[in-house]
Amino acid sequence: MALTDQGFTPKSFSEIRNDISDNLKLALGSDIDTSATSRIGQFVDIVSNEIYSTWQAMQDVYNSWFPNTSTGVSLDNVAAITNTFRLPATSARASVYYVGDAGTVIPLSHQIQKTATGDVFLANGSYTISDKANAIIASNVATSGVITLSWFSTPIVAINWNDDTATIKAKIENHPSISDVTVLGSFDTVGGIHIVFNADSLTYGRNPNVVDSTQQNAIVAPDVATSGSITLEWDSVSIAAINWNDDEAAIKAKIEAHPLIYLVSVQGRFDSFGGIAISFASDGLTSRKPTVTASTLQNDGDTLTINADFAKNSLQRSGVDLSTIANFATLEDETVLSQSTGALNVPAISIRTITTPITGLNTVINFEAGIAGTDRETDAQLRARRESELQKIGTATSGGIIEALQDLANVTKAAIVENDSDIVVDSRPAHSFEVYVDALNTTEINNEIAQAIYNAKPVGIEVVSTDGGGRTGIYTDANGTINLVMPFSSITPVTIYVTVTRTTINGDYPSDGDDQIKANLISYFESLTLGDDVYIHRLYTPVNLVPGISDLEIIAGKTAGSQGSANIVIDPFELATLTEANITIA
Amino acid sequence: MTKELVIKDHTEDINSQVLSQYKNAESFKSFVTSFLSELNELETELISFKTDLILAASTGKNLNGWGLILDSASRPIDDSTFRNNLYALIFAYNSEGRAIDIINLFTQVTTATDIKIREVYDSKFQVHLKEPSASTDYQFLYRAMRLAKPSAVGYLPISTSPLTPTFSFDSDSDPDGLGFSVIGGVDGGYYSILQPEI
Repeated sequence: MALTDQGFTPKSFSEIRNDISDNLKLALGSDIDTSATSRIGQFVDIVSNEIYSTWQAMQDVYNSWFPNTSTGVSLDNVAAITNTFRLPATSARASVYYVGDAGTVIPLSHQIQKTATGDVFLANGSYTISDKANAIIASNVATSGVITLSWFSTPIVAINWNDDTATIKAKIENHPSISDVTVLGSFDTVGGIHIVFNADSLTYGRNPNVVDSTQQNAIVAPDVATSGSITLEWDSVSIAAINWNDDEAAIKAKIEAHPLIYLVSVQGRFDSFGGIAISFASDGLTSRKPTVTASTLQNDGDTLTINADFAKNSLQRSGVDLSTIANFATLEDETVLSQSTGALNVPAISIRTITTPITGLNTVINFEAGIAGTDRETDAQLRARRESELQKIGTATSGGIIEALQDLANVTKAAIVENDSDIVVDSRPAHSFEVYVDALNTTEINNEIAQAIYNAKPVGIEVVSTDGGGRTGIYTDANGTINLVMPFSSITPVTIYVTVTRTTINGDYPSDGDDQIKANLISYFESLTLGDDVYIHRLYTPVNLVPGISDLEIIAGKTAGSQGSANIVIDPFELATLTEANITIA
Repeated sequence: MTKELVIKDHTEDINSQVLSQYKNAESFKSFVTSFLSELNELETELISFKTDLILAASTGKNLNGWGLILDSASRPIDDSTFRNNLYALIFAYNSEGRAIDIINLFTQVTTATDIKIREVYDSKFQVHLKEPSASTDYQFLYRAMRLAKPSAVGYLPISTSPLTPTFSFDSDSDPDGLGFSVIGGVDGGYYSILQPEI
């Protein structure tokens, strides 16, 4: 028997040949010549070889029964036994704002592209640029400067290059006709902001303008003032010092006390917004350019550096002026899919080029990194995933819920942390669970996720989010009640710091060896999935791919100061990430 | 329809297939049958794939292969126990979290004469095994039960009777409270309650 308790052992060619030869000698006489050079021997060889091939085929059939030895379609079949199916190649997915004239329609499959590589992305729906949303997009991420925006000719306090969304929101809502906006982005992170108008009384529309006028001044500090005063002068004539907590009326009065300034309007104050915007309506000045003659403005004891100039766009990157587009935008970032399937990363602000021009469409931008496209799942990847997806899809078990979520096209990974005890554990109430997903944060996708969680969760069990419910989706329950809110969480990226200490062999180590080491390490981290621990010894392999290294030591940690040789434990809802900035090569 | 594979003696087939003028050509027939015995062996092996590699019949390394498919890291020494565990895992992987799923799982993997599940509110349950064998692998049972239960639903320790007494304590200091309780046994003791009949 070739199939035994010890597995399958195919018959060898020589065994087959010998058996046939023995049979022939037994039947026809022991003196029959079956040697390899005889006619009968030739015949025996040929037939033996064909039979041997069949035994080899049987070995392949045997191997195809088991996940660690099967390949290709056979592996697909084995994986299907436990409800796992090979993932096809997928398109990269990103969310972009379309910016241009209000009412412009971006049709389904309209083409834009990743600027650096030319990879084309298609609109995944028909989108309309709204008159209730603005986008102010600079030509790059800013590293200095300010920008002043106005609506209906009324400027707001200039926005600093590094103002956060809360500060920008406060400055916009200080506009007399704007009371509630939602702001995303900032000029120092993504080189732009997106504004949705929730409540306003802008009589002549919400068309934004970047102010560039000698009629208006922008006096702005990097933070709000908590003490001190500032003295301004025009045409070498100073006005009374403006106190840190003067209101708009008081500031206006002090400015209009200047002998050559008759009528101005003032927006902002130093204690609430860290600046003021001044519009000159009537004056006899030679130049309206402001000068700060004295300033003691401080924020909690720290001196504030004041930027005082005409209101204009002075955003810069590394000393180079940035151009800016200010226009209407889609109400939310809209989904685009890469035209080709396969591995493709989509970093934030990488999609900036319009492939197919449309009248009224000025620019596009993705504030957030997209979901990378993937190649068709390899045998090794399918084997690894199969082991983590043995549960039947969509059942109320933790495994079933995870599989239901990972079955969604837009969810890359999912994890569940359950509390099946009777007490609160890690802020999770008794008998509740929390779902973590690696998926793009859009309304459409969040709603898909919410419905999938509801469809699979056990009745009566609470779903919670310990990140404060920062991410939610809308679902419909079994009673038909719509617009119910389901909280869940995004996976937590864990920033890893790595220090590589290497000794190199002169002449063998490439000139760009350090860059290669960084690229290899980053590539390795990109292969990690949710909950994968960081094993220090595995970091040596990608580094050793670079030639000319004679001695090597690698340490890593969750902070720059805690790096060591111990492996780094990653929780099931965490994903270890590494950026070039966090790699030190010594 | 695929033809069912049936084992036959190919060396016997030759008698019905040779032309009549060769019926008595014994040397020729012996020459041909010397090769056909190899086909007999191949066919036997092929049939064994069909009959011996299925979960119900696999043994040894072949059964280990099923362990790989079902991700069973621990391997009891005897094939029969291992096979039962693998069947239990199939129940666990296909569980929808219902009481019947849990009972089916335990039925597969224990020799208990009766299996009951008791719902304990809020959001817990307890499995009771009547007369389980002494060799019951509780570590495996808990693993399978965790896979099969609904997410965030808790469970109490598996209770057994009568080989292992079942008891629980009452935090209530009522002096009239029933004491130490053994299912099918005698009540007694202080600070304890009677385990409900299940």
